[in-house]
Amino acid sequence: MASIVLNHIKKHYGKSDSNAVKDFNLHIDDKEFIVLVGPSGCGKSTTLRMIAGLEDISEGDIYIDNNRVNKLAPKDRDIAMVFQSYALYPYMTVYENIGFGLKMRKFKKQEIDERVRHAAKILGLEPYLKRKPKDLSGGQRQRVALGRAIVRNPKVFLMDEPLSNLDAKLRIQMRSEIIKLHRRLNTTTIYVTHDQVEAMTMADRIVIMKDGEIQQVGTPEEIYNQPANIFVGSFIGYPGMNFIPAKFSEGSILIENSRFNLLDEEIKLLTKHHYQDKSLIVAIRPEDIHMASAGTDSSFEALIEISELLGSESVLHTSIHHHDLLVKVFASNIKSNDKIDLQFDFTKMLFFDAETKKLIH
Amino acid sequence: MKRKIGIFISILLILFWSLAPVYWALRTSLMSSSSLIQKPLKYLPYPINIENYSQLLGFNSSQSIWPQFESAMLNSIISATGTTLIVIVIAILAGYAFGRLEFVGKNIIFVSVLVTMALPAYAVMIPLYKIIISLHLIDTQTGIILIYTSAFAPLAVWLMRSFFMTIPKDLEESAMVDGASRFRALCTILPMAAPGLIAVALLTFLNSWSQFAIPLVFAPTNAKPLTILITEFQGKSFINYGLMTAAGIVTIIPPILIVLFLNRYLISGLTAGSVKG
Repeated sequence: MASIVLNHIKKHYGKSDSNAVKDFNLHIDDKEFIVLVGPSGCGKSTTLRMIAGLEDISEGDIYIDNNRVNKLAPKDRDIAMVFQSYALYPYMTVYENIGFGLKMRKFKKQEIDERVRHAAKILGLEPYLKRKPKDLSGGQRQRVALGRAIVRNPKVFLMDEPLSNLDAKLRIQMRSEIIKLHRRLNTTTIYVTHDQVEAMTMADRIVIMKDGEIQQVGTPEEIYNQPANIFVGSFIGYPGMNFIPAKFSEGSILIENSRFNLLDEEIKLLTKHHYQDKSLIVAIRPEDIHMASAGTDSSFEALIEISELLGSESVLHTSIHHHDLLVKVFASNIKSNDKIDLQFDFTKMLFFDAETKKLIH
Repeated sequence: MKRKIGIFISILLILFWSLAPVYWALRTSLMSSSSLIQKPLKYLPYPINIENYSQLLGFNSSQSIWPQFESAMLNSIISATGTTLIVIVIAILAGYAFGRLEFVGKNIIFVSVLVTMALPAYAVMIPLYKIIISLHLIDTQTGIILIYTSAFAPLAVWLMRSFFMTIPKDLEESAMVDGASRFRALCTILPMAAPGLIAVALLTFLNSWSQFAIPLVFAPTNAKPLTILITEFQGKSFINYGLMTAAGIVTIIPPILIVLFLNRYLISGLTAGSVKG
């Protein structure tokens, strides 16, 4: 068990000026489950590999359990890593694969045997110990990779997109298994993924990255409800958040020539930050736009271009003054080309600066 | 159908082209000197005469040349096996370094290694001769193995480099996180490079076994291999074709056996390595 501190971490390759990771600062508490999430190329895997010691740190310091580990070889950092490809040795049995790390660290045969069998029991791998990886299903291979990590009882687990190679159904199953495993072992875990659903469902805290920079750090609720900027808002949540250019004037917002009255709190907020008669971006999640009966105050009529039925709910593609709008409603009877009345839930509405793209709060 | 027949005939022609000399050597080795010069020419070795083989392998004590043959055979085995072992070690370490590690001047060094493959052996023969003389390694196994190693290592390094590049990096990184040193991590991925290793070993062994010009210059007496011995079965006015071909046939048996047993590794090794390079 250990806390991890990343202090002004930077990574650049060769002589190039552009940084793959730019000034990364994070304090990870003991037992915490941290998810690094972002689009490909955002530097999340590089950051993880620097913590693992597989990548040199260009600038800054990393501390694991209060020890500076910058110069330590991966094997001396007391970490375990699960790779996207599982990294199992094809010529070794499941038993040998799980016990590999212990053998490398010169554990006694009996101890190895006990630990491997214990890990296999936790992961339901007991019947497969004598098999080779090629005779296992994707999910089982994934479990073997997890087994290799937990058998050593390391201070930290690092997981690099461990579920990306699984099909959707298995991914959901393994997701909950990893969460259960974390509850059971309580080992500090850093988990890298590009899948926002994994981030939302697994993390104690999420770190959202883009272009080598942290965009926001927070609990899933914080990130979902108070995204720090437009990128975070659009990245987290499905379907994505709606962003509509608008103007704040006289206690209401103007979307083109439609006027919507704001709540007192919102007027106060925008006035305080001097947005009077200025452009800004209004953001609202698809589930915060509701169907309204015609003629209700601040409702508007919308033509449904596409209606996607997801089961109990539908995602409607529509627009307001030529700005695309996604709406999620609990109704299955709305068809394409229908015209319906909609209404914003103003308590859930967020405002972003039109230039900096940052949340106004 | 026409295509198939065409391919079939082409294969037959190629087979004939490469096997006819071997058959002719076999036929000659099984005939007595007198029946060799008989007219009309005999295409089949009849009556079969094993006199040449018994002389070669020492069954016939009166004119046995087994001692010379034995020592040449040993020389061939030692030089080919020794070269193969050394080249494999070099190819693993250098191939891994070129394929995986980052260091200053990597590409320049790698290209320099490859360039040596383009140099014809004859171009370096005289300087090499001077070097070997000054090292007092002329006509020794050590000298021969050194020369072979320098000649065959570049191709082997190149092959192993391509091979290591096809093995996922994750496997070594995972080993290193699990407690292995860089070298130990290399050892854990070696079983996956086995086809490449076998291909390298085969090529090196066969190449060393069949060398002629180099041992002719550098190992004419004490370290003399089979390929050189064979040419010596001739006097001033008489060439012993029977003995020469018998020795030739015995000489090609070891490589044939090796290729028969290991050729599938050779093919998979060469093709798998060529995917990336």
